[in-house]
Amino acid sequence: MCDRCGCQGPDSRLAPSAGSERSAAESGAGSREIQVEGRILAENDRLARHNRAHFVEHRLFAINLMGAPGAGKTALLEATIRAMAGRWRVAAIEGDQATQRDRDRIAATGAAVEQIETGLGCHLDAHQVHHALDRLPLAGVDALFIENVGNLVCPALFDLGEHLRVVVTSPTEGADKPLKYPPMFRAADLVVLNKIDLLPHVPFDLSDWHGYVMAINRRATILMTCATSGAGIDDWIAVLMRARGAAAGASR
Amino acid sequence: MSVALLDTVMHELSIARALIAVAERHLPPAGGSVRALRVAVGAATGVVPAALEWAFQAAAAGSRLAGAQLIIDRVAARSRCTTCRCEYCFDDVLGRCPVCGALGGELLAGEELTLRSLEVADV
Repeated sequence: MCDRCGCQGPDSRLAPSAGSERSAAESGAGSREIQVEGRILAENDRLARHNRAHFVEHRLFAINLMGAPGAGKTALLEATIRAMAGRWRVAAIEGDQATQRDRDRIAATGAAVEQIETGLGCHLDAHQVHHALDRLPLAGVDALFIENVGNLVCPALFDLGEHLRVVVTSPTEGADKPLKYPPMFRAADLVVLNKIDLLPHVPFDLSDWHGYVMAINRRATILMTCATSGAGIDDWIAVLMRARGAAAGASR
Repeated sequence: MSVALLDTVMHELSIARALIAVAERHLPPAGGSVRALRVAVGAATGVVPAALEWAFQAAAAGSRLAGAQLIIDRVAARSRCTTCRCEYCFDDVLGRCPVCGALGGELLAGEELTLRSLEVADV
């Protein structure tokens, strides 16, 4: 442990119990303490495990597609479904605050799709996905894409039971997004820079962006795509197929 | 701000609701009021303590936890610098190596989000 940040010092403000305002002497009179030490998101985690078991049972590879609104998640999904035609049967769950618009876009590709309208919610949780799974015809489906609510903060905390976490970003969002939203990029298995056709037109330093992703998450695979022209889609699909193979091997 | 409106801008309300559900499962079926809950929040989760506290008070209304004090233990995050390999602690979501200044790094700790204990008044 490096000693320069002072976290191990006697009066460190970063010691694990920093921020606690009550001493032991303050509590205790006329009361008792019940030790819990339980994860706050335990129920979400339990339902995520349940979803995962469901995916394994159906031999289904599940992908949690996250990113800011407008990064091109739905366009990437449309391009993926069309490029996978004849190879994988794909189903999708679409998460948005409102409307069935993305459901309609995905349905137009022929894939089975369910929309979750979160209303006031800023992310999908395992419970919502569990109910959407009940409504989706999953027989014969190879891959399920769960397109999360467009948001770079909240979805990072909620396990949906997926095998693969993908963050989609785009040049207009700026190269420093990974530094500004570290939990989201830290949670990613795969980071996709979409809309690369815009690179010549916007101030976006690709090498800075690459360095920032690596600074936050060295294990992430980085890909570049343009969903509208199809550039990079073959690489993306090859990575998905490899990841599916690895997940199938791990669950056997 | 109403609870419904609050939910549009932050996930702390979802976390507060989950916290209340976990706490209720650990309460004795009959008993006194809940005086306090102690939770651990890792810095790297990005959960904002003040927002969680507000959300908790709003979500606890009408439950056995209404009025209970939420004691938040902020847990420092720890990273290994990917440039100089130094291990260091930090108190935000990103981290900056105190030795070489590199941002980020490999996260070793700081994703805690746990209910540690409940303080229940004697009947």
